[in-house]
Amino acid sequence: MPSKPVGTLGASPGGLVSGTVVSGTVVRVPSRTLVARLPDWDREDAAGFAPVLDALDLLTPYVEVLEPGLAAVPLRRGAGEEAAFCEALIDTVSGLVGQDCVTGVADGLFAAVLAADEGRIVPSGGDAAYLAGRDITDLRATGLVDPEICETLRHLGIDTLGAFAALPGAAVAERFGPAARRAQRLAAGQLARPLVPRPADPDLTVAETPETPFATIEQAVTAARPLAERLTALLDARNLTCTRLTVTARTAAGLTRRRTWQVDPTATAADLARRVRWQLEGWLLAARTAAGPEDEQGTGAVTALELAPGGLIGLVAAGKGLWEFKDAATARAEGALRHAQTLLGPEAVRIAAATDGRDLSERAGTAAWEAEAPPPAPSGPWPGALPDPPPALVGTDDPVDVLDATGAPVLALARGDLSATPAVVRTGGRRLRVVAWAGPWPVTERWWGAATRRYTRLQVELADGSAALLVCEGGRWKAAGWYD
Amino acid sequence: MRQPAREPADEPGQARSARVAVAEPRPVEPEAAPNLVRPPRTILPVTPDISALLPYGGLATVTAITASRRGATSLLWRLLAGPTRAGAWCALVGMPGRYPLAATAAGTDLGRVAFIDAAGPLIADAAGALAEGVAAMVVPSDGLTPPQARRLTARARKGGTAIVWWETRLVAGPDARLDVARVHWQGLRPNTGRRWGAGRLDACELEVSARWRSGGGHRTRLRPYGADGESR
Repeated sequence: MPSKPVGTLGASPGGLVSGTVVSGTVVRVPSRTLVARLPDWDREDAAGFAPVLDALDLLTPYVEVLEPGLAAVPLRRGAGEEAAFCEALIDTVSGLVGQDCVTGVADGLFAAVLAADEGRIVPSGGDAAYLAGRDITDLRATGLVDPEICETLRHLGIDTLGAFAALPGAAVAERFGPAARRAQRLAAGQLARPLVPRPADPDLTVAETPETPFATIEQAVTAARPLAERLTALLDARNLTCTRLTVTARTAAGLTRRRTWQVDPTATAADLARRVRWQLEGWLLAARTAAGPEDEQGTGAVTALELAPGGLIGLVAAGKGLWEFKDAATARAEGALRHAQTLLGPEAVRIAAATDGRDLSERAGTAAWEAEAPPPAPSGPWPGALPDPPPALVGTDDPVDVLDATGAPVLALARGDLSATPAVVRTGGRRLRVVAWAGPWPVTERWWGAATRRYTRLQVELADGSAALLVCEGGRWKAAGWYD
Repeated sequence: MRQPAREPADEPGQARSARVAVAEPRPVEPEAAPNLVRPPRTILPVTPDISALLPYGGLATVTAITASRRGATSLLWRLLAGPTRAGAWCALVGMPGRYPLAATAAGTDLGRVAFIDAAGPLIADAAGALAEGVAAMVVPSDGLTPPQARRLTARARKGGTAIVWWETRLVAGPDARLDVARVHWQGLRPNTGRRWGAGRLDACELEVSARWRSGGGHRTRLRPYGADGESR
């Protein structure tokens, strides 16, 4: 029985090959492939096929739909009786849609598709031998060759896939083109591609269509967060997680922008929302560049935002624990912080951490919570960094005057001392006596480069009980920080 | 369901001064708060030196720190050291210019501190949102009108969030008001006509007095940047 061409079979040039790394996770080629065919299925009826897929989902989370009525699932080698699994599958499907179902099992997808025509289980390692005996017209099932090529081959006396596979590869490529060469390798049982996980079920796609289009990126990003949470909740409910995320935005101008991201299967809703944010920002930037600076908002308004998961795999396969535990108090606190983010913008909720640096401001890094990567941890001790405790209040850099007993300015000298004893600090119109002090400490940063910086630090305690870290740079004093 | 208190700073590379013991809150005794509000739902653990200053022995409901006193920021970070080390999220709303590493030096775990950039009317909005869930939040009292402050307090009491008023304007009826009576900076050398010399500011001692709504109170000296973290 001649097979009909199957859409994408083998036609994944440059696609996934064995051991392809998808965002840190190695996707292994399944060692066995099962193909289920519903011979009487009306091929136009794509929507009606969904219940069948749901039934397959009960057996395995990893289903690739080749076309309506034809689906493939991977089987793990040694996972159990293949015949028994096929029986269970056939029973499930016929019980559900009341149609006959035939199954084929082989190592490779191509052999399995052909085996499904006759309900065979090709023994492990027997793909090449099985294929060798098949008629040359079965080559059309790869979807790579035209019927004319099959005719030509038959006229040349090549009646079986085995004979075709035995031809010199270079000659086939030269005579029939690269697609035929790929078909030849499939016929030889060589070219295996892993199954592409099933495309997103429309049910799993989440979308937000606001009544008034999102005029700014912030608004769209704000909506992306609950959208991502809905998506993860939806997937969690089915014990699935995604390895790809397709972000679709429709703009008021009628433009549809779509981009697919690889995502870590353990990504949280926050991670997904961050992806969406980056994508939206990227589009905004591109739109502004294209439209010129005068078109600030114009056509950029987003009328619909849609997230579709792709590359669905089971939670267990993703290494995502089913018992991910976050205690209630932390979950509540994070919810409150996210709420604050929606009110004030994601940049407004910040966390701080020590990072590399010598200067006060360099040593403390901050990052928007969950929206940016936290500052890198310090790589080691920094000689010349101010010992603890650091000043509690910084950032104002109030200009101050440091005066000696006679009222003359005190200078920090290059050799590391002061021109006179500091007696009075004048700040904000007030003159305060220096009660105690320590220093000076000359600091030279990046003496090797153009960004070199020399300054002198001085700690003072003043008559009103305040204590300050003064810095003299270029002959001018400022309060780099106040102890409090 | 609070996370267990983390082991006090035995990670390598941790500043010595960040070693913090976390005191367990005292069990709430009805006598501790006679006739007033019902006992708070959650009491966050604080360091032992702070514990005696607070009516329930831990951070709960409404605490006020007089912001104008010198050393108040050190006291604040010391107050948050216990809760953050125990894994509780604390938020500072609309308080720019705080140097985060001072918090670390006083024992606060920065991984659990959110700095909320807000100003003007947004302070009240942000505080309202945070009152739904963070364990403790620090809010400058002049950022809210008195009615807003009352509403926020009611909301926080209901939700179990501890409010620390950064008292830039007097607030009515906090459960505890902490004042730094005096701060002693240590390590600097008296001004004796020299032009350079040894020494650096390496510690401070705060004289803190607490007045409780229940009428009680406490006075103590504490060294927020000390390695031992014990009151003397």
